[in-house]
Amino acid sequence: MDGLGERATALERRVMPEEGLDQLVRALARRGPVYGPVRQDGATVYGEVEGAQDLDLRCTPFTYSPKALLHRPRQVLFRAERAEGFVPREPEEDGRMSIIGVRPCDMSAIAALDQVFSQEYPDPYYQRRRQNALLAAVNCVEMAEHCFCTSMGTGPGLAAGFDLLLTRLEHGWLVEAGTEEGCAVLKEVESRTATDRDLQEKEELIRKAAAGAKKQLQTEGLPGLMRDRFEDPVWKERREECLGCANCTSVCPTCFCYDAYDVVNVKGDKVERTRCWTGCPVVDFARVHGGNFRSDRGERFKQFAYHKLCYWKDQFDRLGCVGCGRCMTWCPAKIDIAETAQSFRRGGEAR
Amino acid sequence: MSRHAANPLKPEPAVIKAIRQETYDTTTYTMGFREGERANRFSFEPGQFNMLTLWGIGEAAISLSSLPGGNGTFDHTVRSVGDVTNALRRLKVGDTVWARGPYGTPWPLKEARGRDLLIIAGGIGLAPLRGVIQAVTSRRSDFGKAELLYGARTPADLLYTTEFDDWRRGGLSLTLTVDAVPEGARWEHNVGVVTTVMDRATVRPGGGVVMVCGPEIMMKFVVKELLARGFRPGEIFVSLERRMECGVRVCGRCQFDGRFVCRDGPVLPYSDIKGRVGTML
Repeated sequence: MDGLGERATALERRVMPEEGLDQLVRALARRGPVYGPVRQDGATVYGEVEGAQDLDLRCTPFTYSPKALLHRPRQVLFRAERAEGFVPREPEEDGRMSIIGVRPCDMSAIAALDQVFSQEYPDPYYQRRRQNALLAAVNCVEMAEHCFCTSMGTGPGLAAGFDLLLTRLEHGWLVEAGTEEGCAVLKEVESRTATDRDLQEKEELIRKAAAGAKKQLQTEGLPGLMRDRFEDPVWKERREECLGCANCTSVCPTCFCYDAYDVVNVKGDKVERTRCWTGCPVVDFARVHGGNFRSDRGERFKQFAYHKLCYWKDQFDRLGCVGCGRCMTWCPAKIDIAETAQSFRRGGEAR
Repeated sequence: MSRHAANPLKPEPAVIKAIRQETYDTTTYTMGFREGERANRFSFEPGQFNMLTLWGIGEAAISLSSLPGGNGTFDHTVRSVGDVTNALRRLKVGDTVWARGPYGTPWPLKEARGRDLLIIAGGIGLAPLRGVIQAVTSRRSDFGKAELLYGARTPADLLYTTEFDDWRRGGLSLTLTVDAVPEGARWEHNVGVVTTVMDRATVRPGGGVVMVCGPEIMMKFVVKELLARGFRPGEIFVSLERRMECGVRVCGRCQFDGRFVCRDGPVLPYSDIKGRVGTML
């Protein structure tokens, strides 16, 4: 079954002791900055880490997903100066980086973003950061309140796409390397060859985690079901609840929409063309001269829900939701798109 | 899909070669790229658009309003309503605009070959259709009937009035209408929204292609009238306007239903829109 990650394709499987994690972070740090989940102001966010002591690898929904490290919340596209005839220069490239602690659901989200940013016109800004990123994922051994990766086939175990994949065993860490570079990093860490027992322990941990899923969203035929229920009265309720704050699209690991604008210095001779995340709940999102195609807040919220659970399938042949649960966790109105969609299976009333 | 290696968001310099004031708020700029192969040959099809940059002001999606010129030139007819379009007004011949494109789907000129063509435009909506008219009037024998129904708010809002005679000589039948005629203005044509002149069209369902461009609310009613007259959704083409930051299917702003207007459109057969959400049509 997808999401259990039992058959993770790995070049090498090793077990490191508890303190091996610190060695691993330091080995990664020798290659460039390492970003991982850290506690900050009462929430878990991605920040730069120097050693294992900085990491928060509990299975909690991080406020921001690794999306922010690949599709930057604010990205200078070009710098142009009057003195140079405004010939645009691209910003300097960032070097190698590692992202540690990437959850299976977020790995699936990165795969979704890879699709978005590598279409007919590949986006060089995303591509560069993505190619520069070593991904050290971590399997989930427990489920948080809003997790529904088991429904989306994206977790709690990871099968592919990683450079390194960690699983916390009772004694130490199982580390699987999926790429040559992952193997190279692993060589710099004290470890022993993994045994069948270690792999069985991993499988058991993931299976137990999956069994602990509290939320469910049946995805079979979901895009069609969503279309059938486009005028369902439940959307009127959601309209009344939604504050239009766009927390959902900010924390969503697959939301990619952006706004682009020129930032000009006071003298008006230096320009930074900049792009910045935006989202469909924002009032101006679909505004054109003379009108706004989604002036109604309810329509804007529906665009978010429908893009994730319906339209994405048309666009990229998969759903745009990975079941991370962030949108509902960080929604001030506690709107739950999975529960709303699931309610259609029950034929009606939902929260 | 072919993949483009260069930075797709990077505009290139284009020089303004001619400026023509069309109305009190609308101007046509003839431009040509300054450097590279495209300086002499910039190929595109009517219906497609460019992203135009004025550094420090921003970037905007603007439709191409001509056929490719023999010397690599292209036209943009711009109504001054936003930051970029207002700033464009301050430019003179010889000034530089930065451009990238062409993007989006063209009008189905190839499909219209040998068949009748009915063009229905409202206001600035005639701009993306001007290249179609240029193609039809210059290769008139390639097409059957060619009719234009064009509506604007007032006589002063009509675009390309100096070209109407050429278009007529080229074999295009023109029907003009305005919503209102201000006191003292001369007007010999119809008064009323564009749907009030639809019965003057002689193109019939099954005979050809209908191209519609204008404000979405206008297109909504035009499509409704066309369907009532027996036209099938697959023979009606419309051009949608949406906010765009990229033109290359990434910024997400132009989405309706599962479509990106910048790449799946802007020109779409009505059959691709019918039953989908997110448009007025």
